[in-house]
Amino acid sequence: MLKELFPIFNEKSDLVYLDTAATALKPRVVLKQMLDYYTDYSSNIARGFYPIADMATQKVIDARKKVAEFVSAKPNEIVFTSGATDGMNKVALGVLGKISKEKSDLGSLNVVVCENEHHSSLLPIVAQAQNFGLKIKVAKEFSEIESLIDSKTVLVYVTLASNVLNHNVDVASISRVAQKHSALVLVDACQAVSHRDVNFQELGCDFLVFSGHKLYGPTGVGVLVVKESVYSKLDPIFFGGGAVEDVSFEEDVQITLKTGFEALEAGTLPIAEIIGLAAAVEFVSEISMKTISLNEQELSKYLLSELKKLDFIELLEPDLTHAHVISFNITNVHSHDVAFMLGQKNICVRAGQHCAHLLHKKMGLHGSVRVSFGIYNSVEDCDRLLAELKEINSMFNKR
Amino acid sequence: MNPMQDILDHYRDPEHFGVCDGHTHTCHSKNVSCGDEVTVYLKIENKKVIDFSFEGKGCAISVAAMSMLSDEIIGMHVDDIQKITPDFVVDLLGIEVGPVRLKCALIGLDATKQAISEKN
Repeated sequence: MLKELFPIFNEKSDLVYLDTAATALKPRVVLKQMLDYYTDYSSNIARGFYPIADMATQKVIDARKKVAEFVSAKPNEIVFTSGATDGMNKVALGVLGKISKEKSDLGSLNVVVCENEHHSSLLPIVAQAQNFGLKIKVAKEFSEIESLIDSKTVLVYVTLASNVLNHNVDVASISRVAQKHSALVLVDACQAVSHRDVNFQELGCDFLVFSGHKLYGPTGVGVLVVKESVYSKLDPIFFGGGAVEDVSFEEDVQITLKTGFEALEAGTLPIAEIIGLAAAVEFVSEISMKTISLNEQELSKYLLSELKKLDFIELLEPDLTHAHVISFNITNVHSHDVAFMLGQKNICVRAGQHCAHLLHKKMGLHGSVRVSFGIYNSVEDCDRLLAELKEINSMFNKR
Repeated sequence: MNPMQDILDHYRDPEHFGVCDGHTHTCHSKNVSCGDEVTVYLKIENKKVIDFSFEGKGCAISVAAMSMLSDEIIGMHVDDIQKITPDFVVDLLGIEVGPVRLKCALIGLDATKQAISEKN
């Protein structure tokens, strides 16, 4: 029934979209809010002294409040970014760059990551650690992260929910261990934020990032949540309008940056996208995360039980009973071929290594097919998928 | 024949699969995003391909494209091989290939062109 809230199904009524982990479809209300901005009050924010500029400014102030409430943070802890990768890079370069100015023994310091992570989140930290000459400690499993944190750790990266497998990562516990060693914790909530409640305070982390487009919002906008007390440990990496308090060229060049989120939001923000993101947050909140999660659990339970009946299906996590992502292969069939054949029938899934090359290498797989659910999916979608998987197996494995 | 069936036939039983005798040029290519790998072997005399083969692992599109292309390549002048376009490979496959899958379809052709240019 929720399909009717998504305009894409008007044009493509037979579309089975099972790739929400890559990006979620956009509800009408999000598109409308963005179009309203462009058609009714398109203007820059925090600069204009005229009514439509006031309206746009107020919308962004409201958006910051809504997003903050959504993740149980304070409005001044919300930094708008262009996406999660932008947020990751802001933290990686901002934190390690500041440390590099303050400390000389960088080679003795370390960062902790896990090899099960998504590339976009691993690479900014690993690349900047390499850049500044810090050691990189790589946990083989999420459960190993805590044991790798020591007094020389400056930054720990952890994902709240993987985009390939289903792990329960105890972020709060990792945060406690990190805090004891004065290490900062960065959490990737990209996958988690559209499936369950994310509470920034309870997680106890210092930074949290997510993208708008996986939360039924537009592309080109994301959120970096920064614990209020931690802004001082993060140098801005971009400079420009809106982020500067004062500039003087009289004797020496003097640049006085603003503090808090404003220092990290140089230049014109993606205003329409922020308004769209706020609409998406409202949309999800109105449906309720509990409803979303229950629907997803029911669908995944059904699909997993049906997939287990098929002897040609190789599940990456055979013991699961429900999941936010289901990854599998058809015996002797390349994951790209499976996704391509499904695509011919308007069934959308992801195939390949899902930006988690290290994980697939570790599992000895060329790739996998991944199904992920959104609030528009139904049992009928699962049945269409199952029927086509049988067809593909017949086509490839039976002569 | 149904183009998809043709692709599957080439995939299951590719033409010129293996290592040809007396090859003079070779190149190994890998698509890290999907794990596909191909190694091409060319026997070239007087700038003409006398023999060609390939081996590797990949999806149906990448293997079938290489298999279909192999018959075309044998007998060609190396300069003409460098002029083979992506559209030519797509036409051989006989199905529409999107921009992502085009990489699969072209992995073998790219390796072949590289093998020639590296040694020329």
